[in-house]
Amino acid sequence: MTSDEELFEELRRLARPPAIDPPQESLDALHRAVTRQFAGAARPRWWQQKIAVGGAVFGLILGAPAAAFAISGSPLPDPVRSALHDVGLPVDSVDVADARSAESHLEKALRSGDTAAVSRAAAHLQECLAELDRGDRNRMAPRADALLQDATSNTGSSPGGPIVSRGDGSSNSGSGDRSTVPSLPATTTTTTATHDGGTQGGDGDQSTTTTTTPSASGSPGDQTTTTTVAHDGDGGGGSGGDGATTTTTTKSSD
Amino acid sequence: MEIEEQRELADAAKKGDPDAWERLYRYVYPRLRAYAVARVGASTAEDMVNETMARAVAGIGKFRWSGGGFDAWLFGILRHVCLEHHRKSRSVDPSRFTEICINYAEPGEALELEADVEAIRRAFANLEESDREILALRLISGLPSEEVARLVGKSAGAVRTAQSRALASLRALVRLEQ
Repeated sequence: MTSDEELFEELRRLARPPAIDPPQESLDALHRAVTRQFAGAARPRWWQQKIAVGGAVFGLILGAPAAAFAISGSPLPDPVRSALHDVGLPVDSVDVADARSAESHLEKALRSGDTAAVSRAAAHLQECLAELDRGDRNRMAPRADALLQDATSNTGSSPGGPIVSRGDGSSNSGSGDRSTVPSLPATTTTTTATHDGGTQGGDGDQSTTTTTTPSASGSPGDQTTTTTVAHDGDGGGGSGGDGATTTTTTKSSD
Repeated sequence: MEIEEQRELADAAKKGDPDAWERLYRYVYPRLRAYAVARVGASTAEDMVNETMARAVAGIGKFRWSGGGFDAWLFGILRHVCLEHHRKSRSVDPSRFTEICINYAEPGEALELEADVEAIRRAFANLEESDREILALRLISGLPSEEVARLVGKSAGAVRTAQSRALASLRALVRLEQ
C-alpha cells in the first residue's frame, strides 16, 4: 500500500457489495407505496370530484354574469345579485339596488325640471325606501332625504307617502304588509332622524320618522301626525335587527 | 447504469411509474444495504432501507436532479434514517463500520486477505467518528467527494482532507498491527 489512492481502491474493492436483489417483500412494499402515493394524486376521490364540479358550476353561474357586469357596466341580474349578497359578497341587496336606482331617477328628474317626473320618481323612491330594512334605509337616508327635500322644493309638495319605519325589517305601515302608503295631497311632510350618527350597527341605533298628513276630508286644519321610533337594540347593524318599533298617531284639528 | 438512463428513470419515477421505481431500487439496493449494515448492523439494515424507500416515494415531488443523481438523494435519506435510529436507540457502535470490510469481500479474498481485513477492521474502529462516516460513504456509495460533502454538510475540500487523514490513520494502524 504505497499511496492513499491505492489504499482507497483496495478498500473500495473490499467494501464493494455483491450484486444482490432486494427481498421480494421489500419490492412488494415499494410497489404498494408507489401505488398509494400516485393513485391518490392521479384520481381524486369521488367527493373531491363532486366538490370540484360543484364549485365550477357555482363559479360559472355567479362568475359569468358578474364578469359580464364588470365588462359591460350593466346592472347585475336580480337572482345573481341576491345569490352574491346571500353568500356574503360585498354586493348590495336587490332592494338596495332598486332604491339606488330610484335615487338616480329622481336625481335625473330633478335635473330635467319636469315636475311630474319628479313627483313620480320621488314617490317611487319612497316606495323603494319602504322596502328596505332599517340598516339599509339608515345608510341611504342622507342622500335620499336630500333628494326628497329637493323634490318637495321643486314641486312645492310632497310627492307621495311617508317613509314608514319597520321594526322587523320586512313590512311597512306597522301592519306587516308591503303595500305603500297611498299618495296623499300636497301638504304631507316627512322627516326622518337617525341617532348614533347615522351609521349602521351602532349600539342603541334609533331612527325616528315623523309624518304629517292632512286628513282625508281635506279640511285644511285637520291633520294626522304619525311618529314612528325604531330601536335597533342589538346593535347588529344592517340586517333589520330585532328592535322594537313604537308608532304614535296623533290627530289634530284647528 | 448510465447517468442518462438513471435520469430518465428518475423522471418516470416522479410520474409514478412503478417499473422505474423498481429498476432504480434494484440498481442502488446493494449499496444502500451495505451502507445501512455499516451504520446500524445487518439485523436492522433492511428496515433502514425499506424506510428510506418509503420516504423517497412520499417525497419524490421534492427531488431535483443534481450532480449526484438519484442515488445521492437516496443516500441522503438513508443517512438521516440511520441517524434517527441512532438517536432513538442511543447507541453507536463504531465497530459496525468495520463490517463493510468483511461482509462483502469474496470468500476467497477474505481468506487470502484475512490478516489485512482483520487489521483494517480494527483500524476502522479507531478512526474519528466523522472521518469514519466520510470514508464509509465514499467507499460504499461510490459518490464523488462533492456529493458526500453535500450529504454530511461539509465542503468538498474538508471531505478530501478527512478522507486522507482516515487513510493515513488506517495505514499507520495496519502497519502497527503487522
